[in-house]
Amino acid sequence: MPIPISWYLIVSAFIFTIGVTGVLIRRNPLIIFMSIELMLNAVNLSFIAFSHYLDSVDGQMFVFLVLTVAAAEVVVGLAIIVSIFRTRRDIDVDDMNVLRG
Amino acid sequence: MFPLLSLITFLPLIGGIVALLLPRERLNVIRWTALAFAWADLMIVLGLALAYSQTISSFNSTIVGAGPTATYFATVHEQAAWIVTPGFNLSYSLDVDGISLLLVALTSLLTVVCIAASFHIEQKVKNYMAFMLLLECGIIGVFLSSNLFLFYIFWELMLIPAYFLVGSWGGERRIYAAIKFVLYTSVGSLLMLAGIIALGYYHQRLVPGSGYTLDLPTLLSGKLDPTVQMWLFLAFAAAFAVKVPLIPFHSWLPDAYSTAPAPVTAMLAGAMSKTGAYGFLRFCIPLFPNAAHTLAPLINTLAVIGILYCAWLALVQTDIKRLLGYSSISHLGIVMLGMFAFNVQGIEGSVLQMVNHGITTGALFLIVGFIEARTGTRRLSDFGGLARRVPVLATVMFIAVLSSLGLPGLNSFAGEFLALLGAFLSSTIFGILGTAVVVPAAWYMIRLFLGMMEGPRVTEGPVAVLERKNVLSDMYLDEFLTILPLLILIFYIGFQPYPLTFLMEPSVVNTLQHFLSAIPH
Amino acid sequence: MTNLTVWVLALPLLGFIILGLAGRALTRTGILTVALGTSGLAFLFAALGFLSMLGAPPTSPASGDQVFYTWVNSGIIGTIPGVPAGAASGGAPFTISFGLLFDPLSATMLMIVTGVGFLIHIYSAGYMEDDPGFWRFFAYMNFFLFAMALLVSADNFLFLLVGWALVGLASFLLIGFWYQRRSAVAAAQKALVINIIGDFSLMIAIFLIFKHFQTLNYFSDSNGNPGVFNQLPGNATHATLIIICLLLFLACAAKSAQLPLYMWLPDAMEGPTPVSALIHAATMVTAGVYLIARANQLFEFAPTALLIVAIIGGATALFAATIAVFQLDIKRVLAYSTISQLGYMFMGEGAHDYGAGIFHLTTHAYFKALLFLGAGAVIHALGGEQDMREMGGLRHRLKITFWTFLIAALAISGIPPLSGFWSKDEILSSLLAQATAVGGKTGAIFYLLWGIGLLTAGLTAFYMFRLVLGIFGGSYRGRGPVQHGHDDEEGEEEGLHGAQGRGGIYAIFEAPAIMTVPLIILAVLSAIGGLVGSFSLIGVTRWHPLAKFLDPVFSNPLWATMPVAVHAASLKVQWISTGLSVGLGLLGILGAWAIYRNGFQYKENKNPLYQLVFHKYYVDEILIAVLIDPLLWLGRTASRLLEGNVLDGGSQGVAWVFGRTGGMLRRLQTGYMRNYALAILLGVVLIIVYYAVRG
Repeated sequence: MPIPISWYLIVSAFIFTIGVTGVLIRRNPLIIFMSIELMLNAVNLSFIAFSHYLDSVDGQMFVFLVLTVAAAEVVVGLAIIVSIFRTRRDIDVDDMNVLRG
Repeated sequence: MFPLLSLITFLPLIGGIVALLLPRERLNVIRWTALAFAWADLMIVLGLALAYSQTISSFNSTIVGAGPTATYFATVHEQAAWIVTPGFNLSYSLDVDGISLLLVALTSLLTVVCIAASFHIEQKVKNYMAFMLLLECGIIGVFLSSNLFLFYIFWELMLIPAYFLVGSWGGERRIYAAIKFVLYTSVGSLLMLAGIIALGYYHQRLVPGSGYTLDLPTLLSGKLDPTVQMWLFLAFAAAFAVKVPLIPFHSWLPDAYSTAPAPVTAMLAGAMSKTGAYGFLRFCIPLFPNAAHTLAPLINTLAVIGILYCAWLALVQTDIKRLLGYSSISHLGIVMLGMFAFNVQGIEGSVLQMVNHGITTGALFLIVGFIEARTGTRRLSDFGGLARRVPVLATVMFIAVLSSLGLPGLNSFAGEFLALLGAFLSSTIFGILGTAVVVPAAWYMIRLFLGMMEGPRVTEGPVAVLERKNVLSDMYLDEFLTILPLLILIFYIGFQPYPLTFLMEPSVVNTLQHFLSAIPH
Repeated sequence: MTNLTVWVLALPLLGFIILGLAGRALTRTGILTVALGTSGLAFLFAALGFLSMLGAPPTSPASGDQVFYTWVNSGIIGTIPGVPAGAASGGAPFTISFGLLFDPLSATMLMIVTGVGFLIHIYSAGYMEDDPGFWRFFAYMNFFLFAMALLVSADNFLFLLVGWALVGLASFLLIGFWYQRRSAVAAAQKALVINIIGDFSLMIAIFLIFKHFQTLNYFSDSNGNPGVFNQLPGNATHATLIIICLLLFLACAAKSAQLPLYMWLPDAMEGPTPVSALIHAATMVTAGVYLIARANQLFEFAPTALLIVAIIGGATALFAATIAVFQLDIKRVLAYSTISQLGYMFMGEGAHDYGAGIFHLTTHAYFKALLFLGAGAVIHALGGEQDMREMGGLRHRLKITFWTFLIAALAISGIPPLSGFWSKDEILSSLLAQATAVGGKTGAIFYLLWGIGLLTAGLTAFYMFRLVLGIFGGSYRGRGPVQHGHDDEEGEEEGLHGAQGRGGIYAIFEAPAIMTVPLIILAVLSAIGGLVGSFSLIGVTRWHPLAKFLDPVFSNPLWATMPVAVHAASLKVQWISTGLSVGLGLLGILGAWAIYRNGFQYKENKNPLYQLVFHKYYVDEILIAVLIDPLLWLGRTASRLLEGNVLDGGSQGVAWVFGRTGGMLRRLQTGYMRNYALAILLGVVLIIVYYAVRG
């Protein structure tokens, strides 16, 4: 008996919520990054599940796109974090509010 | 086939990139490189004009009854698939006909002249030259594109260099002027973008099963519902009316023109303002003939008010460049008046006036720039009796002033006369009111010239100080050579405007035929 | 018959170009060679053409037409499918060629323009000798000849307009010749602007002509396309023809200084005196008279317009003559006299006697050029003094000037057998003939005009002899000529007023021969120039060479169908008119003699009527107060309020609104990433809830 799609979606939603919570409450940008990755991969999971369920490859295509973008994003993000650390010697996100209006 | 039109459009862009790659401190190398690219472009355009004039004599007899695009110079037509999905097709297509050819020639000529006149600029030369060439690329692209999507890209492309040229190299209040200019233009442009998207949509609905396209020849073949036409016309007109400008959308102009450095003003007034009028002629009138016909009284009224009101304002200006700015609005009102007369004389006069206005206004702004470079002031009351010190400059300025006030025998007269004749033939009252501008035009232009060059010399102010020190130099040879092409054209077109009307005639007749057969009689 | 007109045009233009480009580098002799050479040769060509025309009169109006190149071509022949005929191109293609017409009228005009112009050139060589702008002066003078020659020889209305405007430009340049003087610059500006009003009127007339006749050529071209005059009245209604003619006349009024556009001419005195001579005699002001003569066939179809021409002419003649009576500046007297005499010419043309108008134009060119050049000689001798109060008794010192000036004054006063008598007489008798022949209200108007003509003749004689006696009669009232250094271009503006020492009357000397010879030539012409007119008055009925020469222009095969025929004056009518005009002329001279016999006396007169006339009816002051100042004030107000506060302020207001809104919204931007993320999350939740609830 195949596992019903709702199970996948529940897992996906669970992981996504963990990711959201992590982004909202953690102060270390590295952890925030990991949380974002969690969110992305949760979405990937649901994509794959839907792809299988609908018997279409479009979902898998999107997953590859997301993976690529996520990799690129990590590169840029880490570079930003490193450069912030170099200038401020500190990467606590609570201290970074220069964009305050 | 060799992409000649793409070359004409993008050669300045390549030139700009090359200029950016040159070492920063080699100012003269950068300047001469930019000038060389501008020259090369002009030469190619002239070659094209020659080829075009050879061709039209053969298709002159067959054009009547064909659509406006029949006069495209077919052998240099360029089309490439660009963004294509099923049911959706945006192509990269460039075309040229008599009208756009003249305006492209004007643009490339003015670029050469304006770059040559910018050699005295010392700050950020690299960026300046790159922006000038980018501006040329944008303007030429606007004149050559025959796909509305591409047209819109070039339309916005013009704005970027124009913004930086006004904002970085301008005089006092340059940021204010630049931002005002950009805001005015982009509000209009965005309305046009909405109009373009909607036009494609409505056109697609017109022919069941057809795809979405923005190719001008295809769009011209459909007849839209008059109400739809009306809204689309207004959306397009919003962009064009700001650029021309028609009153009351002209508020950006005096600020931008007076603040920008003289060669930039010459480009903006001489070449860029023509894109608005060209837009009306190339897109608004053929695409929305019924709306154009219905709204013609409105446009004509705005044009006439602009002609007279701005001439009147020019009469009382104290800043020389602002005076010329208002005179520019006034003259472009004649362009609009001739165009919306919907007869051959009117439209040919209108196009001729666009070319002539570019030449004359370009020359005037450059001359004022030369004077401002010497004296550092633009206030009319600071000047007086300069002709004694700078006789050659005064003479050259006098010629440009005479051309601007429409002296018969010089270039502007031919265009103004034809445009006003056209306006008169289609509506007596608009014709008379438009023609009445010759009196204030002569008055403010002569007041400008006499106030600066003649009369007793001033006793106080910056010019008087320079005079006493005897340091005001007459026109330098390079300045004279810079402006010489414009002077030659002022005389030549006045002597015989026939070659210009010959080039544009088939295109004008076709546009008009397309328009006239669409409207009710 | 040979059309040599192109040389008459090209030579002065060539001279202008050479002098304009290289004049600064040329020596004085070089400049004179170019200027006099080109204008002299132009006269020679004009004369050759004229003689060849005398030998072989033209067979048709357009037989002397020579077309050079297509100026512009706009519009298509034939119809476009689906489009009503004519909708696209106003009925016909607008094709204009540059062509030169050579017919009796243009030949006569060219003779006058180049002939008198050449004499003035010669004179100027002496008059302008010390001026630093020598080359500039001759360049402008040559340009003036070119423009005027173009005006009178163009074969279509468009190039007439070109010549018309170029003449205006030339006068602008010459009036403002001493460009460092504020008054000269103001006068030049005034002349140009008023002339442009005329250009505007001419343009509208041309538009109307094209609208109704589909061409701007005077006569049929070589392809047989009919010209304007060949298709009269065409499809134009009577009212349209009247409007066209009135617009043409308004243009004439601006150029020929008629009411209400005469104001520029007296101020035009700011130019050097030879310029005044050129403007008043040979070129410029004659253009209006020429245009009406040229368009005579058009005017014949609009007799109402012609009547208005006559009325305005008469009103101007009298109006200007009254002003001239009280002027103190000798050049201003002559200026108002020109306006008055031009009114005469328009009266003649208004009475359908175009030949008389052209005849008076011709004789007037001789004696008015002579008067101005004579006045110039006086001013030259006095070092720039123009005020009659500082003159007197000069007949002893300036003998040639005096005698030639006297001849001219007698000629303009209409004393037989000098030239002015014949031409003025012809106009007056034509007026009287019209009055007797037409009858009714129109006849009454012509009687009135005839009376005005007679009165003006008397006034003219009076103020001319007031002038003669004021300058030459009595004893010398001044302190000798104004001494002034050579004011070079680097020098002071008002160089002419830098008086140093004055040597009384014995420091006054006659002008050199280069100036007096033209005076003598013009005096001879003023004396005998009228002999080309009609001699029917004295019983010689077959002698009327000028009228016969011009006849092909003024007679038209269409005349049989015309509403008003030209009425030849009977001998009796002529004698009445002649007797009265000569009598009044003599009376005027005697009046002047009675008052100014012992020299001119200026007395301050507080009589308001006198003050009104003395101040030229306060026309300039009223115009400035009523029209110019309010216009400029309103413009400045509009510039400040409408442009500044409303438009600029409006766009700034929009910017302000956006700025304030942004200022309030910025508080939402805390800068903490987690706040943003929370907002996103909330948004997502809200959307999900919305869809969940909606189902």
